[in-house]
Amino acid sequence: MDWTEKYRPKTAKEIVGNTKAAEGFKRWIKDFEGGRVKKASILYGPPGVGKTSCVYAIAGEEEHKYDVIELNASDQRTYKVIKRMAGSTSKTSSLEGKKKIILLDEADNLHGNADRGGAKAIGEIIMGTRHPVVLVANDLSKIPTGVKNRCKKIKFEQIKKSSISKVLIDICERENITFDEDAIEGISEKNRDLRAAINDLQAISFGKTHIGVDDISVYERDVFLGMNNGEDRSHFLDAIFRNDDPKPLLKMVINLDETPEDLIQWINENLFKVYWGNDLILALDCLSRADLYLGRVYLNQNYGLWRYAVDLMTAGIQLPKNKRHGDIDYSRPSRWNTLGRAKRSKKIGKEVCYKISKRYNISMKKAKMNALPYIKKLCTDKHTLIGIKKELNLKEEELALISGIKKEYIDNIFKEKTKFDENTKEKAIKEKSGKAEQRSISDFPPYIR
Amino acid sequence: MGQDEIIERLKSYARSGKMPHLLFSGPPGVGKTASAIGLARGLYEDMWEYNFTELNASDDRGIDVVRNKIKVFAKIAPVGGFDFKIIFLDEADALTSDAQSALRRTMEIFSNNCRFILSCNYSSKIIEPIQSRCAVYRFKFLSTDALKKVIREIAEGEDIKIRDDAIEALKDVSGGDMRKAINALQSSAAIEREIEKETIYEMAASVRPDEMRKILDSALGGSFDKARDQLSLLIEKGTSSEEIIKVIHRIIFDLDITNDKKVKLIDRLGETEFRITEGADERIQLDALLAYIALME
Repeated sequence: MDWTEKYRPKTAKEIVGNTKAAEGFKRWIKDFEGGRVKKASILYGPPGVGKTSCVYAIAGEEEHKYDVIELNASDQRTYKVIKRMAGSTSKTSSLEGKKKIILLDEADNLHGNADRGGAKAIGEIIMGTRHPVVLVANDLSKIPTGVKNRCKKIKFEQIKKSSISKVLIDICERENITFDEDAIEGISEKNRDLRAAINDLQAISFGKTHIGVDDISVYERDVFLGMNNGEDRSHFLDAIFRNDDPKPLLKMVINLDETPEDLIQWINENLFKVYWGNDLILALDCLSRADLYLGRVYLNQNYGLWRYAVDLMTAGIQLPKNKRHGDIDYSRPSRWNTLGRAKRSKKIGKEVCYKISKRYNISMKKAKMNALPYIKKLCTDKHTLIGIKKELNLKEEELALISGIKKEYIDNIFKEKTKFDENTKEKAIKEKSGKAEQRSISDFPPYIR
Repeated sequence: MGQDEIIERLKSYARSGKMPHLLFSGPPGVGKTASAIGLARGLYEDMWEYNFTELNASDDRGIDVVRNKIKVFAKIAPVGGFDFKIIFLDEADALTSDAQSALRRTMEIFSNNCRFILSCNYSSKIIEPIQSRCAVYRFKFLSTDALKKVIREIAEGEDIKIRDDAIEALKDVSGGDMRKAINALQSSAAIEREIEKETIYEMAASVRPDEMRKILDSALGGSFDKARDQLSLLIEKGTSSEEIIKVIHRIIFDLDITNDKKVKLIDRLGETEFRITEGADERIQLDALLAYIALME
């Protein structure tokens, strides 16, 4: 049996790390029975920190005793399926009157075509349910806003190294396995994720009664996307940036667990720390030629061309003679961090264009090409800004994106506006009671004038 | 073979009759599939074929594969009183990330009667939640010694005589890929019991590196005509342009030219291959390549 299953926490007390989140979830379940809270909750956080476990543990506790009805990404989750599975359960109680939790695991993984209408079904189920609905996800931003707003959000954090070690030691004792403390430390060092750590422990200790430091050496786990560990990475980048001999470098490349597409990003990011002036230009030229081959691979799926890309981005980059000396602190491609942000603003921009196109009956393309630039320009005026928001029914963040004004500042404008509105209202009421209705243009808020 | 530490660990799984989900990552031809099958044989002995299912993910890589094919396999109980069966997903990095995320709960839910072994070339193409559910083994590229040792063992077992320079040739044509090396060995052995290196290059429809080197040296020496004649001979023998380019690529870093020139040559060679794959004429492109080499300063 898998230890990850065997030692899944049975009660809330057994949950490691994230105790606050677990308590929060428990409280929500209790409140749900009282009927005072949102009907769904969403547990989100990185993999292997105990989100699904938490649901099962609390459902299984004596005082609650819920049946868990689970739907995960391995099931097809179209509108129909979700409605059938969860919909019928959500409105009926089971025969023995046992209570139920509807668990939608991997809720951030509803897939366009294969799961058509799934998000809508989830929304409807939350509306009509008599049982608590729990969504579990890694990435909160992938959950449709409509669903998100109806949920109580509970965040799970990465588990601390020391907590992971403690669990591992506990399991070892229960399995009658002796261990070197360094070995346990080593496993928890490599894993940010409790499930992965337990899996490693089990994999290492199969057929053994003692775990030593030597045992953990075979295991390598990718903590982050990218090269498997920092040592390997800096070793490899050093071979490019610190050496003149291409041969050992090409040998290393073969064993590197990294696609050329990722590799080129690493090199591009750190190139600027090593070269300057003409040498930098030379290196960049070489990198761009390497990239050209990657593009050709991508277009034709002709992976044979990868070897030229790799040679150019390693041996080619190595060529310039003048290299900066001293320790280089290699950094992760910053593009990967900004990628998410760029994607997000693209999405918001699309949303705005959609609203414009609906409002004025033009195509999305025209909205983007013809209307958006003017609207952007108009946004520079505070009063028009308020009008535009109303006209197009935009959200604050959408407004912030198209106007380029900070969101806090926009929030401020609207706070002022509400204040102003209230003031004028009061004033109007006072005046009304005082004398006959007589309004001057100055009574109106300036954005209508 | 050649992955001693990993094999040792897999053997202990077979002995104890238990194993976690596994993820094998590494370049082609280093023994990922062989290890998986070896493990299955160790676990189930005669029954291994009933309890071991191989799915090649690159054939069909959408989410439906997981939802239909894989789940159905996973549900069926193991044969012969074993605790679990093994599903071997070859080239799992070809699965779309949607399909991969559909796989993650399947792995857990059916873990009582089914174990997964995933194999991939790059583990970074496997989503993190799956990696978190697997014990990750990284297969390294085979060392020359390991490859030679295996070849010798096979030759001994099959009663084939093979000379040292022929083993060297096998290493050359295979580029470290054990599968290719053994294939070349087998086909050569079908022709003669005492294998010579010429046979191996011929069987692999390949060019001997020293032959190619001569051509390149002539070109580098400025005698384009001579190089072109030598190349014509090769092509008349039926060597494909693809093979010629591959061999040139393999020996570029052994040539007596500056690294700067080597890199230029690599770029030009890649261009040649690209043009040929786009449908350009082989002869014209290869001649142009030689001309470029002859003119290089």
